[in-house]
Amino acid sequence: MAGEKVLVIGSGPAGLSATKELRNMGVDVVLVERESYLGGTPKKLKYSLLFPELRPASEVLDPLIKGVENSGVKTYMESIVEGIKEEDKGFTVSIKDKSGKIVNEKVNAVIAASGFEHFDSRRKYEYGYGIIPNIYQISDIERMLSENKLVTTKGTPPKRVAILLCVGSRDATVGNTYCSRVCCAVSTKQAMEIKERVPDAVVHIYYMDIRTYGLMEDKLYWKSQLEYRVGYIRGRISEFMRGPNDTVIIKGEDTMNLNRALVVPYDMVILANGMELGLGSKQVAKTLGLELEEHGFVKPLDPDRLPVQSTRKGIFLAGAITGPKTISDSITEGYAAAMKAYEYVTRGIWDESDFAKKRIEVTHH
Amino acid sequence: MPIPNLEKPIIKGLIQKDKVIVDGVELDGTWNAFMIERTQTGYDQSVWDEIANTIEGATISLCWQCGTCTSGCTMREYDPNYSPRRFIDLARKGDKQALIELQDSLWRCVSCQKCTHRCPKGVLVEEVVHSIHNYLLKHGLVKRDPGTIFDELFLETVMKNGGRISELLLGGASAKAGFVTMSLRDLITMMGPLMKSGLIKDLMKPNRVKNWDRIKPVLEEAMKEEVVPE
Repeated sequence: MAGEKVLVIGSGPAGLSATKELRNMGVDVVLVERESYLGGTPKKLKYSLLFPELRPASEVLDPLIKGVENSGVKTYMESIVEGIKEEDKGFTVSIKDKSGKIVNEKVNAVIAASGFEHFDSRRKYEYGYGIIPNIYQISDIERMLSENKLVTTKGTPPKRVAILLCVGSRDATVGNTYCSRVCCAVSTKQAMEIKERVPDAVVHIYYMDIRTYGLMEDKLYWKSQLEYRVGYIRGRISEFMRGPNDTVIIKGEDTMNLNRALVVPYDMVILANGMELGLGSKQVAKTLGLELEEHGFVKPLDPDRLPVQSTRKGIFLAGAITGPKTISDSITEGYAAAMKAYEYVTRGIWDESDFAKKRIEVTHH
Repeated sequence: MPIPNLEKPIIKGLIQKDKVIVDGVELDGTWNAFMIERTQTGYDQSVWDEIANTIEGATISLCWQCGTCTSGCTMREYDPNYSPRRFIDLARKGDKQALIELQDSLWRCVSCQKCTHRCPKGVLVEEVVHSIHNYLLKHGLVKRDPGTIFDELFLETVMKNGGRISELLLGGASAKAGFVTMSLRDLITMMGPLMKSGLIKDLMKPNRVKNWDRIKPVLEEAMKEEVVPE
């Protein structure tokens, strides 16, 4: 074993953990990152606390970033992978930087960990995001919370907050029929953070189903109700209107309480926008020649048995590129992809599965 | 003890007294509140099946009861009982009795299509609501709604008057159907200006559409072919 090299695309939680593990096992890594810093979307949008443990995001990410920075990994910042050519023992990839300069690198395997992008709520025009003041997305609120600047346009902390779940997820009108998995937990966490800062605030979460699955049931869902008195109202808001004094008026229906129409003013409305593959990852998938599954994410070779292998030999997947994931799941997948890539570059082990080739009829509902 | 708001609609025969003495014991409160039986025995599974098998109602099974349709509904502001989500819920449960009680609301859809456009599951809400109403009409569970009656009256006067509505005939028919009420005094106040301006001639003998004799058979033929909702 000498001079094995793996290309890692993306330096979010998944890319960082994969890089770190590969370095620990003595494999050379080339890391390509689109932005000018490591850390991916959590860093880009300045995530505040992470669910379910409610600890600062930097506590989780910074050790990973430091580990990678100090491991002597060859890093291309503000660069993208522009082309890939298969060779007898691996690939030659061309990496293009901001100024358009192209560098070729010879690698034995590739780990695609380019992640997701948040859904842009402007695509749901009836919600008025970007038009009506005081309507935000959870991705905006994270930054406001971490910078401790949670204020409405009046410059005061909000006294009445509504959070609407499933914006851009489980919505056939924007073509996303899947659940984004994390928004319920993030919203519940944000509701608690808001109550922590503004104890007399009224926070209502408008939901269809609450999916704080697994251990988060009591850590988030019940904690938010027992300790913080966050209100849960079942019903999907149909439209927002601009109210007097920069308030936002919601139009909804309380579907648990038969026939209760709701026209309620709030100081601040938060849209829990979901996760999509995003243009960056679509470009990566196209360049690497990866298949997409029916929801538009990248298809793994076998979602159950081989979740970190792609449909193309020598290319591995980690993190939210294969579907909505939490940060801890992404880190786990980074480790898994590193292990699989290590096996592949040192011993040539590539497990086969014909699952991805089988045509599966999916009923969209 | 005052009756909670939620209970009020199911209570009948209410007698409220501040103070009552029974056998020398002083009592106060609400008396003789006989509640309507709340047990639901009338769920009919075939309602869902039948509606889902129509062309209009095929998407009823997709609904997940989120309330987007109702909360954005145009009609909701005029009729608080108008709730497409609830109609779908009741139809799927097969709660015919509740639907019958809502018959004054069911027909009021103005077909603005906001619900259909916004539905996150792709339910064609406007069509589904019509199919629920058609189901009830087909099985004779509800009386014919004013909307349909007015449409028929309108068509009838158009056909009678040579392709043109007769305000007088339509007004008379509507009054007969109970949509409008007109007192003698209203008639007298209307007649004055009508006579003066000479409009009365137009009203009594409306102008016909050009070539009506040729158009009429075409319309009659077309109406024969009109698809009657199942």
